Formats: sequence, structure tokens, C-alpha cells
Amino acid sequence: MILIKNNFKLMLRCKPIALILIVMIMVTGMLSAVFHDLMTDHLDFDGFELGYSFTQGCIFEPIKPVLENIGKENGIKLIQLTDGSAQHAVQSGAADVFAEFNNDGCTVYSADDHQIEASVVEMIVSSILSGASDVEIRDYLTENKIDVQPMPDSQMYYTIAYTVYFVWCAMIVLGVVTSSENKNKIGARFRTTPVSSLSIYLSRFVPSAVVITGLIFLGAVICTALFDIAWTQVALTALILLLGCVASAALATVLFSLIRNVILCVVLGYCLLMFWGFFGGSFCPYMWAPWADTIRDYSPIYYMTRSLVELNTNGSSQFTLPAVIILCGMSVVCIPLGMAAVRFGKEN
Amino acid sequence: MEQTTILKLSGLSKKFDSRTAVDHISLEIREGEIFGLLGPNGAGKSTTLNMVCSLLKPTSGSIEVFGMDAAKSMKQIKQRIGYIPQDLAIHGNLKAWENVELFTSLYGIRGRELRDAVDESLEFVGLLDRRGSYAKTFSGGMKRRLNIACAIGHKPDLMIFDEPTVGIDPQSRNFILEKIKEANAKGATVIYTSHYMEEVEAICTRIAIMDNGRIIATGTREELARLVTDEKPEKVTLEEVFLTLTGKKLRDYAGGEG
Repeated sequence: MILIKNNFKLMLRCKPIALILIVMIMVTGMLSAVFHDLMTDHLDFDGFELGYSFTQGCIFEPIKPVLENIGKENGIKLIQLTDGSAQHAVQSGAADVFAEFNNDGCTVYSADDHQIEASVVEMIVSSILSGASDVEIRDYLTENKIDVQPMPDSQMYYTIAYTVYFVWCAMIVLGVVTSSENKNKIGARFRTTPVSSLSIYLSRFVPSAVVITGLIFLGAVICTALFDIAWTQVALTALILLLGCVASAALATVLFSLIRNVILCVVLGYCLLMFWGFFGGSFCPYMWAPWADTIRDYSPIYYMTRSLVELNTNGSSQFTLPAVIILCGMSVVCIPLGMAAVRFGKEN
Repeated sequence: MEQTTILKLSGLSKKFDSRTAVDHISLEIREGEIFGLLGPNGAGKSTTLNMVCSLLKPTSGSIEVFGMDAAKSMKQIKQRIGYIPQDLAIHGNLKAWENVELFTSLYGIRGRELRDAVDESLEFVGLLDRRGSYAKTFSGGMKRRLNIACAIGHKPDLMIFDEPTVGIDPQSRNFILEKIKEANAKGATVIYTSHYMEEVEAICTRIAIMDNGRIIATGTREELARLVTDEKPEKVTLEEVFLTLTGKKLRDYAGGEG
């Protein structure tokens, strides 16, 4: 217990440890802002012209006033065309997008350079029709309902991505104790005492798990306040982060018990973290070559990030169970391995 | 009355690859002695002490401490040994009392007994008034004293000092030597290695001289002096004895184990 307490003190007295917290918040803030601006650039539009037509006696005609209202509120200029084909309207530039309503449904036409506007029209029509009071219309449109996945905003995504990324920094925390032990040859001194391998193992594992958990949760709280994050699944989010911190500390203890050289250990750990983070969505969550999808399956960061993002946007995620199993599995493997490594180091 | 044997080395050897660091040494250290282990660099002193403290496994031979076989009862033996290493084994970012508490607790001492042991150890080395200061703020001599305090909290029966006065001022050195004599007077048996002949001469009751992994002479200062002169051995210094027995050739070489 005293060994644990003193290693805990050594970690907390190392001021550079606070950099983990500061960097975590800075990186989250920076990336959130950068990607928020990029998203704004791509999503803003100056409005467009939507041509539409109803065939005679079309059952969808009652939605016309609603469509006009939405168009007015969103800068979409509506033009009802009564003659000519949709193809002609789009090709002649009379409308950027054309929505043709008949009793079979609604068909949206657009040129290649107005695909986004066409998608917007599809979403609008779908949402109007799904809320229509007319039973006949609503029944018909259930077949054409567009399933829209809620998207996280950049603040939410990067707060989760970098909270998860820094969970794996337990090796930096443990490095403080290991470097002091190496510098002062404390390990050799321990071997002249009757202290057990288990005590030595716990003195490394427990404080690093507690300190990294404290830093991560403090960081998450600060990010929540600064970036106005609305966590919808607090308990599950906390559980996954906690399991991540335990697995991270267990992994760090194995690394430092097998490799005495702190520099080598941190470099190896950093490379592993970069690999996991790169393919796991910490840096750029899009534009991958297909082979990267295979590699990301080996990154616990991928499962954690995806699970937490989906949990806090959709309310559920099929990645939560795999994330929990992977993190528990890592701890189950790393804890006995670390204990064996400490015993080996103590006896040799 | 015959004194109890505290440490008995029998045919002890240690090889590092093809090099023999300790070569079939046999030695007995009795209760209440301050036993000096002298030798040039690479003679095998530290290797021998490291084997006694179980930091190294012997290649052959046996070690008996307090009548127990070290190969079988090392945990019980460690409980009664206080090892003061040549390198300072203290955490700079812990306070003096925290360092002593840390190492004393490794011997299973807890609670009130632990708190008392910490204060007694710090008082013994004259650092009680600096108990709340960080070790990194201490001078070289103070760090050496703290290093000793960390090894005596559990009141060991056998204290092993591996060059405890390297790089410190004469006042600190004198203080440490006095404290070693005081600990010995309280009942602890002491093994002491040093390059400083006058220190060994001043405090050791018996001395062994090692060279090339072997013990080439053992005895009191007078007995060793008689090995080099028949006339007035009291006028021969230990350094003269040492240089006569081990030669004047430089012994430092790369990769050497003490």
C-alpha cells in the first residue's frame, strides 16, 4: 500500500504530466474548430431553384403549401412548371433540381453538379410526407422513407476521439516512476528486500490506472464545459473510458516490465498508439483505401471511438459490446503477463 | 566464548561469460564484527556482496547467512539484512521521510511501528529536522545519509555497506563512520567495502583483501601487516599492505564488474 501511495505521489508531483490534460484539450479544441469550419464551408449554400410539377389529380398535391413554406424559410426558390419535361427544365437551367409528383410517387431530377441540392430536396419531401395527415399519402410513403443517421458535430467527434486517444497515455504516467527507479537503481534495491513481485506489480499498475483515469475524466469534463458537449449515454461512456484506462495501465505495466529502457518503451508505445489512432479514427475519419478497413479492426481505439460516437449520437451502437470485450480481454491478458514480467525481472 | 557465524561463503564463484569475477572464495564473518572487504577495481568485491544480497546468482558454491542456506531461505535472510548500495537508491521527488517509509515498509513494518522506525532512522543519520524536505534538495552527504536511513529502518542484524562514502566531504564521511560504529555497538554485524584505506583501518575489526576474484589475505590489521613485514608491523599502513599484496598495476578495465 505504501509502495502504491508513494508511486502515486511521484506521478502527481511530476508537473509535465499535466501536459496530457492541456494537450488533450488543445488538440480537441483545434480540430473541432478546423473541422467545424470545413463542414460549414461545404454545407452553406446560397439557395437554389426547385422546379416541381403535380400531374392532374395527383394525391400529393395537398403538400404544396408546406413545400412552399419550407422553400421560403431555407432560401429555395420554388417554380411550378406546368409544361415541358423534367429533363428539359434541368437542362435548360429553368431549375437546378426538379421534383415530379405523380400518383406513383416523387422523382427528383438534377444535373451532376447539383447532387447535394437533390439530396436536400429528397430529405425535405420525405420529411413532409412522413408527417402528412392524409392517411392515404402517409401509407403510401412508408415505402419511400429515407433513413437518416444523426451525425455528430465536430466538437462531439473530436472530444470523443481525443479522450479515447489520451486514454492510452498511461505509459507516460508510468514512465515517471520507471525513469526514477532506473535513474536511482531502485529496482536493484527492491531485490535486496523481501517485497513480493505482486506488490511491485500493483505499485506500478494501480497508480498509473488511477492517475490516467483521473486525467481523462477531468479532461472530458473540461471539454464538455468548453465545447458544450451533450453526452446522452453518460454511464456507458464512463464505463468504456474506465475499461480503457485499466487496459492502458495494464499494457503500460507489461511494456515497462519487459523493457527497462524508458526511452525505448515510450517510442514503442508511441508508435503503437499512432498506429491504433491513425487507423482507429483519431486523425482523419474518412477517405480511406479499402485495405485500411481491415487494419482498423486491430485498433482498440477504433472500437472505443466508434462506440462512443454512436452511443452519444444514436443512443446505441453495435460496437459497444466488441469494445468492452476487447478492453476486458486486453486487461485479462496484460495483467498476468505484467505480473510474470515483474517476477522475471525481480529474479533475474 | 565462540562467536556465531553470521555469513559463511564456501567455494563461491561467479562467471560472466568467459570471465571469472569471483573465483572459489571461502569466508566466514562472525557476529559483532565490522568486516572490511578491500580490493582494487574489478577485484570482485561488489560481485560478492551482490551474491550475498541475491542480486546475482552464484555460478557455484554456497552462501549461508544466519545459519540459513541462501538458495533456500532468501526471503527470511533478506528480512534481516540492510544493504546500503554504492549508488544512491532514493527517489528525488519524495521527501526524506517518504523515502525511509517506502523502503522500511518493504520489510512488512506497518502503522505506528513504521512511523517510529522512520523517525528513529532519520534521527540516527541526523536528518530528522529535514524529514519534510525533498531528497532532490539534499547535498551529496545528506543523500548518502538518507541512503543509509532507508536501509536501517527495519533494524537489520547484518548491514552491508558498499562504498558508502564515495564523493562526500570529510565531515559527512566522519559522521557516517561514527554511525557505523554506533550501529555495530548496538549489535549489528557490518560488512564494509571501500577504496579509502584509512576508513577501513579506522573502523574494521577484520579485513579481507581480494584481487582477481580471489581472497588473497584475511585477518586483523596487524595480522595483515605481518604478511609484508616482520619488523614493527604497527608502523606499516594498510595502504602499504594493500599495494604490496595486490601490486601497483592499474586495474580499471572496460566492462569490469566490481
